[in-house]
Amino acid sequence: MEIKFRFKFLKEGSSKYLSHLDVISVMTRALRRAGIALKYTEGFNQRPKLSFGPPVPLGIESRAEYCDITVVEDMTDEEFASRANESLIGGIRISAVKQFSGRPASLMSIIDIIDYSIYIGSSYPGREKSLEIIDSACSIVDFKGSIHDTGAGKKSKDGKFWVIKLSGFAGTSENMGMKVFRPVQFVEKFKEIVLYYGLDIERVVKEEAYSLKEGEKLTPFEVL
Amino acid sequence: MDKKIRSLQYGELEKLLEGIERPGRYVGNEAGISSKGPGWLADMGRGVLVCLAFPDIYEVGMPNLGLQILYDIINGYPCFSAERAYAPWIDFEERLRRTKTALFSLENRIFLDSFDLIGFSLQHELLYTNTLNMLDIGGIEVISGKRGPDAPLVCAGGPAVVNPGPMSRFMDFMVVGDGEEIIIELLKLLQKHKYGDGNKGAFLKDIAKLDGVYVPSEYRFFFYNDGKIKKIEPPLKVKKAVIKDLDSFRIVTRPVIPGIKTVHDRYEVEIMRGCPRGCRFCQAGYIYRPVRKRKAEKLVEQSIEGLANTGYEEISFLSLSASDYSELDSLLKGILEEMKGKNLSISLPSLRLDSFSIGIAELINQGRRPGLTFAPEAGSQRMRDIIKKNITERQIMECIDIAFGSGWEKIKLYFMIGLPGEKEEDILEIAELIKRIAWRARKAMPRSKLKRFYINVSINVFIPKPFTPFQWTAQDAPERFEEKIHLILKNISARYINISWSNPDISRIECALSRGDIRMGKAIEDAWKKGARFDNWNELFNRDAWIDSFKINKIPVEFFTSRKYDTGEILPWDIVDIGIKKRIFLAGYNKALELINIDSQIK
Ligand code: SF4
Repeated sequence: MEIKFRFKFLKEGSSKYLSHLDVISVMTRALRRAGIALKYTEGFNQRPKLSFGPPVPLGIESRAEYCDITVVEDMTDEEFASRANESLIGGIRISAVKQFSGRPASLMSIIDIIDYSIYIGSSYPGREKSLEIIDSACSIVDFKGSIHDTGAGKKSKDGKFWVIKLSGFAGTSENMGMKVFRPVQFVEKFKEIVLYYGLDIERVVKEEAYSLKEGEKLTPFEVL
Repeated sequence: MDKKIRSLQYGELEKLLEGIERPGRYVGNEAGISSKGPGWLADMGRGVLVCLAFPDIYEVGMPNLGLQILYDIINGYPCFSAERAYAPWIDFEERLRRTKTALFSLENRIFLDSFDLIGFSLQHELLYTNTLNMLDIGGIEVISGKRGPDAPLVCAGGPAVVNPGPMSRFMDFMVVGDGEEIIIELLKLLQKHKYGDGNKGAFLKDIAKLDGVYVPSEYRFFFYNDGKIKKIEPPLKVKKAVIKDLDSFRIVTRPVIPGIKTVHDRYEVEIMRGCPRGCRFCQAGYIYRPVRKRKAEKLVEQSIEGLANTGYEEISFLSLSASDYSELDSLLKGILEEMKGKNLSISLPSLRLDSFSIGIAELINQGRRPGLTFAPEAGSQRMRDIIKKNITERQIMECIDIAFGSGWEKIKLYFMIGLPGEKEEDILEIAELIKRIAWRARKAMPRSKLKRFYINVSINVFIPKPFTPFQWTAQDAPERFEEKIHLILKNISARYINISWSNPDISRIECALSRGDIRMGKAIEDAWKKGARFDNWNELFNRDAWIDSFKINKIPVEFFTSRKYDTGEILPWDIVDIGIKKRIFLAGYNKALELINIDSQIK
């Protein structure tokens, strides 16, 4: 018996310092600790069948990492998530699971757009100034054409931060002639701009990943 | 002795890590952490807080089993808590120093100077400078005599302190032998003094009586004008701490599992301690005696538990010589039986050439196949006899046939150069043996695999080490080593043979440090002050720092390296009773000299 799951997980706190390769082994070991029977690839170098979406760069937190997995035992979505979560290390947590069948295109190949939140350590600087800052961010030459959309900034729930949302093109969009958005380099440059206004970037979070279908943004779950 | 525990906030750590290479080294987000949490720290009762420190980077230090064992034992007690600290890489050291942030432990990010006790695991002498560096970054005075009453106690254990001389300047005490039992005795006494008289001196006096504990301040060394030791006061030897029955301690079934990749990412299980072979150059072969083995039945049961707890896909059975573990067959079969269908691979890092049987090859073959490593050490039979590496070329070749006939494609070979009595022919024989092994392996392999065939050869420089029959012998000069290495390289050209060798300059320092006495301490300190650290990293080795430091301290390096020690002289490590009489080492030494002489008479 084989079941395929697509799951979404968080990579928060200090787990943001794990590289993608580290995450693969952390995830594999956690699932083995949870006693979940994984399907392995055939052949000489047998690896469990895990296939990830485009990973968040090292040093950035994420609320939207995706992975497909095949298990060889019967279990529900909830059971899979709760068993895995009991074994995972701090900061990494499965937040949603969906069973699927057939052979959909790989996560790596379908994700076109990624949303990021940038938390700026200050209260909202006022509409005019915030538009000015966002404007200068979007006009940084190196990133022209790689940012697809930015919402206006708004206050974080706890009121401590001013949050800017950015949508950037993921690796797959290269095929469509778009430039790929590199958040780490962007944050470095953007930091200079906000510093000029006496502000600082406190946190960057990958919020969601989307596939573009006929102009519509679909999450990896919605695609299934 | 009660003091406030200071620690680093997570937010501060995030700022410190900006732009730092491999930040995962410093965050401690690992599965299997068993130290006590913030609640315990805030209200310790009669608690004792220990930092287990490993003076190398995280990736190298994490797989060290000794540290994991002590961590597991200490944290099993409700009143003790052990955290870990590793050496920061140079970029992070620079960041810590620039921001005036003290080095901290991984678990609760406690600054080193807030611990009650810091225990270093010293696996080799080239970690001495890193040890001082960690103390210094941790905000602790490096010289023990200058540390105040509030400073943590600092100690060390491991093979690089079986000769406690060189580190005596810095350590309040050192532990020789097995740590499992003694660590708890020490912590109980520390607890008594911490919450009693608060007197570190009284604590040290107390522990000096225990087997395995060397307290440098209790001893005085006197020297002759020629630099040799005249006497040691008091003339009492420190007896090595030994645990009788390994099985009285379960293996670590809940180790800390690194988040980032380390040098050995696998579940490690010790099956046997000590080695019965007694190769004459090998320190490990003597200092870990007597040979004690764990029962296979228990090992299987506990390993299965450990694999379930960790999720590891590879298990490594550690010992100095797996071939001498009598129940190897039932151990391997037992594990494979239990783990059927769960994708486990097994590695046996210390398997010897002469006992690599078809049976074992097949058993290991069922999982994924890690590389094979074999250590013939010398090329010629004559040389192997002198060093007592009891293995014949025929045995080597039979194993090569089996391994390469049953699917292996790669092998790593270890050789040593600069051994006593060595001649040019012996060096040439190394090259010849490598070539013969390559030829034989290629013949035994299926043709389809030939493309993937690969031999890694590692050539080490011989270092006479304390507590071996060769402890008295002289080390070759670095120039001689260069010539010998070139001779081997000149004679091997195959593209599938990759040769690496140790840096003779570094090995010379290692030799001086391992055969040094208390006077070496000042030289270590000065070399460190001049920038020496990570001495075993070729690209960071600071030769000038060491040369200058030896010069200003008037220490002739030759005295501890190229000099043949007198069999009658008092050796710096005579202060330790390692459990083997000096006359046994002497007999081995004389036997080797005899073999060297017989040979030159024939010629
Ligand atoms: S070299 Fe290996 S076999 Fe020889 S004594 Fe040392 S550990 Fe034992």
